[in-house]
Amino acid sequence: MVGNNQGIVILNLERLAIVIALFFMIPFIYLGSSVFFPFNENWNHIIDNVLLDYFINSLSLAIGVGFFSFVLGTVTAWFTSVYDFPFRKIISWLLLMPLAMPAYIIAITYVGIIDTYNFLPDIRNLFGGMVMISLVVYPYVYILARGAFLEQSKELYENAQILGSSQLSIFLKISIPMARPAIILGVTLAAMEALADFGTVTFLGIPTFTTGIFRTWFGMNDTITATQMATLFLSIVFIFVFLEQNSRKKIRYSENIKTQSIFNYKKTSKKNGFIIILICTLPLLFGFLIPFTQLAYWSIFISNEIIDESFFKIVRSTLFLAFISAVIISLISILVTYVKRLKPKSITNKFMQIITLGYAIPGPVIAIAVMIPLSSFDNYINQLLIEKFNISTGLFLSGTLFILVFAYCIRFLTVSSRTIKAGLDSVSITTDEAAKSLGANNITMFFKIHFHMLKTPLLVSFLVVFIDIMKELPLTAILRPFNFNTLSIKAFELASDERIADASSSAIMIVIAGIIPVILITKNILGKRNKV
Amino acid sequence: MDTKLIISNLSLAFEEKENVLTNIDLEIHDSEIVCLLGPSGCGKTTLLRAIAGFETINSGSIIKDGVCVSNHLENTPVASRNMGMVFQDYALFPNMDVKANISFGLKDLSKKEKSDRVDYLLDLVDLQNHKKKYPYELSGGEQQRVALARALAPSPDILLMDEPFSNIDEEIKEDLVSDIRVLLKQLKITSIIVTHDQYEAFNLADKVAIINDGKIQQVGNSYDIYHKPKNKFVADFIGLGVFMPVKKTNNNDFEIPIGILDYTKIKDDLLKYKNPEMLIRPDDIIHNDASDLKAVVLEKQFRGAEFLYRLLYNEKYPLLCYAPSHHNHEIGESIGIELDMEHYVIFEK
Repeated sequence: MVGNNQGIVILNLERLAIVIALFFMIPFIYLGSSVFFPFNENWNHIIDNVLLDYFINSLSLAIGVGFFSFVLGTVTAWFTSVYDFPFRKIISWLLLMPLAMPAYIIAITYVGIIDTYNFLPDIRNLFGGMVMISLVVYPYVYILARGAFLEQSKELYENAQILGSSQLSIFLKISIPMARPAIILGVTLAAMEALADFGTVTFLGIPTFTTGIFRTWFGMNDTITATQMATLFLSIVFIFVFLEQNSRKKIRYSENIKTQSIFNYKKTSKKNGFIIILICTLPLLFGFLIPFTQLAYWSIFISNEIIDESFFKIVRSTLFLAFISAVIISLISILVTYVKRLKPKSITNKFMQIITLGYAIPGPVIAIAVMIPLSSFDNYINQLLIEKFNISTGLFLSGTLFILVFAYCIRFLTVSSRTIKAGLDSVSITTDEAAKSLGANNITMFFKIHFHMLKTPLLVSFLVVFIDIMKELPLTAILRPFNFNTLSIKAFELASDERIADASSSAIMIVIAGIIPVILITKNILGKRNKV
Repeated sequence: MDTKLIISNLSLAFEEKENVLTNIDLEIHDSEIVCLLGPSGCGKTTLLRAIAGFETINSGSIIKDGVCVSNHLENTPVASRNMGMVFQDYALFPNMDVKANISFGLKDLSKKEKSDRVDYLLDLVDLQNHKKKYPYELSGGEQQRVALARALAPSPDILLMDEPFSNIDEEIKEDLVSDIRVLLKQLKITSIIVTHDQYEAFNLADKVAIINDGKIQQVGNSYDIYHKPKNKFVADFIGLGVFMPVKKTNNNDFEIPIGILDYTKIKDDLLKYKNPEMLIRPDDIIHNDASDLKAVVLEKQFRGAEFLYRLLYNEKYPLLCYAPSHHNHEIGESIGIELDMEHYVIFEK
């Protein structure tokens, strides 16, 4: 048989993907196997004293954040997609800005504000946590609901109007039910952020599962119980994952049957326009403008933090870490999504289905799931080499940046591979077949065709992951090598020492960096629709 | 004529499920244009993809120019079969202009030779002025011609086309179909074209293979397929028609409800069947106002030059009949008909 290189090329790419995927399976296998570990006496203490609290707090936080995000997100989405009012375009764009603000930073800022002005209510409680997180995650609901509203056909509204429905009843009886899959997806994403949150709840002193796992691990020094708690917690998280993936399927279904619609914005009177502007700017004001201005003010006028060589060192290591990780994550994403395209039945895809659940897994859970297996492996190798050759390797995986990048991969591979998959999907499968029938192999096909179509998605995925890593707190805090600092850790440590104003220089840099992907998202998602 | 491709006893199934294709036998001669015609889901596209090498077969073989390219053990890679393919969605490379698309498959040629070849092909498909355009700047018909030029560029031994006209506007389709036939004949290239549209197949093909349920039902030229269908499926699928019961009369004739016909022509057929039925095409019934044989108009379709009348004879037997469009009869009216049968096609009821 002539020219069988094509088969060999697939095989090698696939083998590489399998090796990588198997490696990423380690933490999942470790978590899964923890149910077989014997339960120790710490469990009694946890069940008797704290478990119910953790459970109630985590769940109330998720439900509360889901509810507030639903209200803020759908109301603003409805106004900006149905009515025409002054500054509509800029407001509908600015409503996404809170996404740039990590929840722990907004919490730090408001605690600082409250400490300054004593008449304000305290937010160091469960309700405060709900509000803080909601203020920065409602844009998930907003983006998705707005997209769904804009896709609803104009005829439907007109029909309802002819049949005598008021604007409010159209909103409640037609628009919301029709946009339900999108709204549920947004609300679930918001709730998952709340479940996974570590920084905000730690700072505000709310005992939840994530802080509980951390405390059991480091406070009680009991990794086994911490792992078992993590696994228990994951079963709750996966209920939300199920909800999310289910609503994604439904959205895909409803998109298939959508009709083309040309949407006319409804004119508003001056008074109504003013009310709408007021309502729409509220989340923007509290979710972005006030905290951003306050941070800027502190960092410029109040902060004692000196911008010197040691600060630049932190900036450099933050950028370095984010850059390296984003490159590695993007490369792995390309590999696994391309293998999936070439070999839809490959075993890699099964592994990836599990590994890409990582985006939903809270930081401390991922941290424990990578730390224990890797450090045992390190210790084993170290011991072996000392016995045989009297060489000590130290903790060459778990004590270096390796483990941190590994954990980031698990957390952010989904974000990246989803974007890249969407890019690859824009090239039809028959295009690959056409290239093959004209004599191309998989590698030349990738570089001649797919790579060109992937440039933008690749850039988007790289930047989004880059910034997400800059903002990331729990994984970085737990897994970083000794003496390695990033902006997020610096901000959080200073704030925890009640030096909130001093934390502002690091915090505002993270927020400014966070604005970049928001602009990208706006261009990618809203840009197309705004033209309508 | 030399044989170009022999498919024998080919069967194909996806993942241990039921066969998608069963015992396919098909012989294709050099420079012949063959259409694989059948309803959607019949397996025609799968057969084309198996010929191209995109699907592996479970049994049987595909032999091209005397060399086996597929059997249950071996599957020559797509790239080594030297077959060109035009896809249903054309599958043009979106990041390349027309010129780059067409020269994609050209290897081992100098720059000058490549550019000459591209110019020659652009001439052939009449797209000289579109060389620098990108796929999204072209109309559906233009994209299709680029896809054709791209497939023809490496001078393939066989050209495969999957529903090439399904995305083309009806108005220009008919012209395009005959243009393509002229082009393929001019190039003398063996072509296999998948379609679900019988008129497209009739216009294009030297030979039509009717496929249903993963099996070849009949292979033949368009005329034979229409007038001498081998089974009830082909008779039903191709053209319009109704079935009427056949009875033997005493004086060695046989009759259908609307007339008596010559027994000797179908003697053998009649002996085979217990309840024989005869296919009556609309062109077997002639409308004649003067005829004594009458049928009631149930429905009529205006088709410009003619009417297609759906009639009921003797309150029981439906019939179809074309009539020139100035014979405009009302629904419910009784109109005169005559039987004018050339081909007797009989099946078991």
